[in-house]
Amino acid sequence: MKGVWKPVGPLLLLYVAAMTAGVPLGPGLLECTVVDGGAYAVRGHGTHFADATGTMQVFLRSGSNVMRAENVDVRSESVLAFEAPFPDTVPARSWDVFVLSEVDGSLLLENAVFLSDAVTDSSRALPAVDVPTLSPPAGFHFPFQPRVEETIRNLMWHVPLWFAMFVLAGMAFVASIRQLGVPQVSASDEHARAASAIAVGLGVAGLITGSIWARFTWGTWWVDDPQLNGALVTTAAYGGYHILRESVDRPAMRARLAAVYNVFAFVLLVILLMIMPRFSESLHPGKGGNPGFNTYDLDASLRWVFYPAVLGWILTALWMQQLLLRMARVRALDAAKPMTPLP
Amino acid sequence: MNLLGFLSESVFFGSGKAAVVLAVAGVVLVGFLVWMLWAERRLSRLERKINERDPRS
Repeated sequence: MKGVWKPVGPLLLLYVAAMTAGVPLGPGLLECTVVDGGAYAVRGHGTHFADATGTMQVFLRSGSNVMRAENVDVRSESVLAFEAPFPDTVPARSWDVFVLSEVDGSLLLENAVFLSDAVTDSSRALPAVDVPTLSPPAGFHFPFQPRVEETIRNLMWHVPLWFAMFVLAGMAFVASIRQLGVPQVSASDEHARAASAIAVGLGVAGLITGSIWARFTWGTWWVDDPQLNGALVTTAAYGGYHILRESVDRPAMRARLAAVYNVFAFVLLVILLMIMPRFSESLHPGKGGNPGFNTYDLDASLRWVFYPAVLGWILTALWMQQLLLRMARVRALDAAKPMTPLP
Repeated sequence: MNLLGFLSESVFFGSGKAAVVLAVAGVVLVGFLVWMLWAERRLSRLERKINERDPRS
């Protein structure tokens, strides 16, 4: 019964992998372009425009001004054309587009239309228009986020990896504090080493998944952002811990030096990843006033996968740490009294 | 366009090969989990052997 928890983590990760790949993305609008004769065309993703032909409604909104689009023409499941009867003088140049469908619900594309040559008068108010409210589309799907789109699936991997990294770094911190309390090398030293090794691996995986995500949402593999740079420096600091250990021969000195370094590495992690990014502008969600996924983006469908992913990675990381500890113990016992190799 | 950008946009998505990427990622994940199970079993055998040799260890 002692080790029954071990397969739980990997099983949760397999569930997360299946859900990440299998759950469809909800409908959304990708872009709005000008087509012939002053008409506009919106392109959707995961939409079912053709299934709702005849009932589609399109509205344009700028501030409190709302205008109904005319001649809505469904061209395919994902393309819809309409005409916008803008007056000669408009209250603003930038307009959002709402597409209302009985199948897909209300779809919004912010700043979809920009009237670069229009005459503007901010005091101009358009006649009020009655906009119906539609319920969101039925079915289990991930929410459509502008720019994030299909990459929202990476949320189930990138963020839980960092959660697990924090847990392992915290365990290494506690073990290092314990090691500092005794003069000789204790089991805590090996606990700290194993936890830090897994933390580095999780940090590297977090950096890779984050960099790939950045490429497809921000357009670049890396940006000069406090959160990103902090994550890189922290992971490098934990890598430095292992280099330090290898550079000291005397076990007692190595244990003490490594424990002191590890305490500072954890303090660095807290400062660089949890405190500093909140005091500066950041592209990263949850930092510098940029809302995190938990405020309004982490809807019910994401929670069904995200929380198991967090638990799965933490349990898997704990199992990995245990494996490293046991490997070290077997290696030490074998060095003291060599065994015959296993078949 | 750099090589990584070309591979990811023109090859994987452009030709509908995103499923291949997912499959490879799945194989890597499953392979890693199989390795952990293998390590767990092998370590258990070694620990049992050590305990039989020296029960106090």
